[in-house]
Amino acid sequence: MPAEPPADPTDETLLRRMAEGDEAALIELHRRYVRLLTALGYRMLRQREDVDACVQDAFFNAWRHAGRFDPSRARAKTWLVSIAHHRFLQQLRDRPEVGLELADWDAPTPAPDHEGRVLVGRALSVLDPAQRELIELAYYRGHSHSELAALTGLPLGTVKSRLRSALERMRGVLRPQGEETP
Amino acid sequence: MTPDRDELLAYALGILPPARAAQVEAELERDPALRAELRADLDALALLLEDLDPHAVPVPADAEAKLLARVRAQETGVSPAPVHAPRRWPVALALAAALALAFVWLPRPPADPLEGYRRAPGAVERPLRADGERLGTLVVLPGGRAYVFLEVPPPAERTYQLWNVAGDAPVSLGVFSQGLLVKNLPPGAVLAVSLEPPGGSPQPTATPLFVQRL
Repeated sequence: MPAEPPADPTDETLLRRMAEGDEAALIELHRRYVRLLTALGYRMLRQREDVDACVQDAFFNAWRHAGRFDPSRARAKTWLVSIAHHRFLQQLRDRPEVGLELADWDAPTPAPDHEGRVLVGRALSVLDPAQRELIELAYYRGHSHSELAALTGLPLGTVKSRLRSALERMRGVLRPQGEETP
Repeated sequence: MTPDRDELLAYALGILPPARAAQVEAELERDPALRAELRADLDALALLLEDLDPHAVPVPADAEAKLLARVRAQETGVSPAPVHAPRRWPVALALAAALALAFVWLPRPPADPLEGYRRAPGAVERPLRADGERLGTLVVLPGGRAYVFLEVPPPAERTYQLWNVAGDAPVSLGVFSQGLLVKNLPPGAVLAVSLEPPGGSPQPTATPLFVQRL
């Protein structure tokens, strides 16, 4: 899947304008990413309840803290996704009834989208099922290393090494061709 | 202390305990190479979102208007109507303040797995004892699942191994350091835990610490 060309104005420009109080920039950023963040929230919370409030929190906090965004440290999209991701994790941890189940990750195959197409992103294409299960349990459900070991029955060291190797593969997707791992 | 690869990755995933995450953030402030590593991890994790269908979940038609109303209310000091779940907003907003100081948002500590299982619907808790001493807790869950938790981690160079004692030979259910969830257990299954070399053993090499019927 090829990388998307930069939008005009760029996300980074929108954040700079948001830092100056430009509401139109916030609305443009919202239009670009509200669907993606809503889909992320639904994947993490697995129910519609609270997703909209969390997504709004994410954009609201991006607005409030846009002045502290440092483009040398992160891409704007990554920064926004991180804010939303941690907000969803917080929501998960506010739910005492959330179990530590594996059920939805026993067969980590992609689901068809609303038009019946099977989405296969670059991450899925480079991870084996065992790596994908661990990455998804950590990223989407917020399970710690020890929780992952308890859930999967794997030794703690194996959990860590699989996560490391999974990230290395995913980073390899973004690495320019011909560039080797140091 | 400079975080190792596992800790930095845990930080990127949002699963590092807050106290350690704060230390990692201090290191990130000092170390440009560490920041570059984190950036690469976060960009790579963002690839996971390519598997999501952005059109699968409808966005409320008034989402944009409500966001703007909230922004303007903040500027004027007048509170807008909340979108949903207002009881949780104060927590979210308090945490949002932390974002200003951190590279990414600090999550709260991960939930205690034992507590999570204790609170699960239909859970039945039993103490695990040997020679009158409490060793840990067994939580029997619906659907043939059970969570075994031992209060003391295994000694160095040893691991706990859980066995299903059935038939002629015990069947390994996995190795663990403190807690282990097992599934698909038959009613009345008998569980045992022994101390084994790292990685576990094909069959128990030591006397079980305890034997417990579900």
